[in-house]
Amino acid sequence: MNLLNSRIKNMIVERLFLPVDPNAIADDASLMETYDIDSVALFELVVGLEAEFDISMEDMEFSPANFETVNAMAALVESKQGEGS
Amino acid sequence: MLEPLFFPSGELQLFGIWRAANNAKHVWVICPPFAEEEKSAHRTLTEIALALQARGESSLFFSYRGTGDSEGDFADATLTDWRADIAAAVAVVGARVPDAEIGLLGVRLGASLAYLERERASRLLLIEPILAGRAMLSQLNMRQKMRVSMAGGGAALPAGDLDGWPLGENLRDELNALDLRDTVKYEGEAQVWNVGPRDAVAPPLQNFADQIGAKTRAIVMPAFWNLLDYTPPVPLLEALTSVS
Repeated sequence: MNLLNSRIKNMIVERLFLPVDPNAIADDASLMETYDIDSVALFELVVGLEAEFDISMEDMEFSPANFETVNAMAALVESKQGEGS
Repeated sequence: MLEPLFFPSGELQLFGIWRAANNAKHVWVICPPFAEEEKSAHRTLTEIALALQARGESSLFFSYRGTGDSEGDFADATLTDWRADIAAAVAVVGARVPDAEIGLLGVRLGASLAYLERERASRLLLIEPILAGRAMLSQLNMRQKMRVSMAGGGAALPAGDLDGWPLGENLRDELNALDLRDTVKYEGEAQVWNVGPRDAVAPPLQNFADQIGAKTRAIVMPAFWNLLDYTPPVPLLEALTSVS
């Protein structure tokens, strides 16, 4: 498992207070369906990504697709980090 | 004793709940957070007021103009107005308990406004103060988009609407200008609390606390101002009982 995905999984479990092993989250599983994520939880994930990876998302940039899976979130993080380089 | 009351702030009447403890030496003005966050935090703030009362401290939990049962329109309100409302609340508690030390206890934007009105109090308890108003606005706009998106809606959001709250231009401008990331030391006693999943204070809040000379504390529990359902704020109340 790559480090970025691992950090995202830890952040998800931590932020949502999920009673699961972070390693049990599949990279391409739908987070919305598997963990019944609502808008409140989704907002926590946005705040968590910003804090964990020191990135900033504008409200106009939001798309649910970017938070559908761990892989999608990893792609978003890499894209945001690329903007700053 | 619990007393619902109205008190003046300028030409408006604000609503508050006064909870008096016998022979209280400390009295708090509870400064609520902003808009939807206040709705989610309301019960927890009531629990905080009850906990303060249980430890022999009085409090006034009030609503800013244009919110709750206070007079005024939200669309006309500004941060300047709400700071004046805090000052009016301080005057009320000062008149009721002249010999008591006055503290300001704020959550999120309420904590930021409490800090800005710090000269009126000898103690501050700031729970997750907003350090950059622009970032808060962006997050709240994003949350609104999430709700609309997850509900299957694709309609454009009305201009000036923040999750159903009519955000006036002056308030928007003041929020965008709000920045506590470079501030000054507070001469009274201050605490800054971080609420979240980690038993550690986030660096931006720690930096803010260091600048104002505040002690810090990490409260491990969900961000109660974001929740739709009530979660008993046990860690928060436990921390409150240990504040000197």
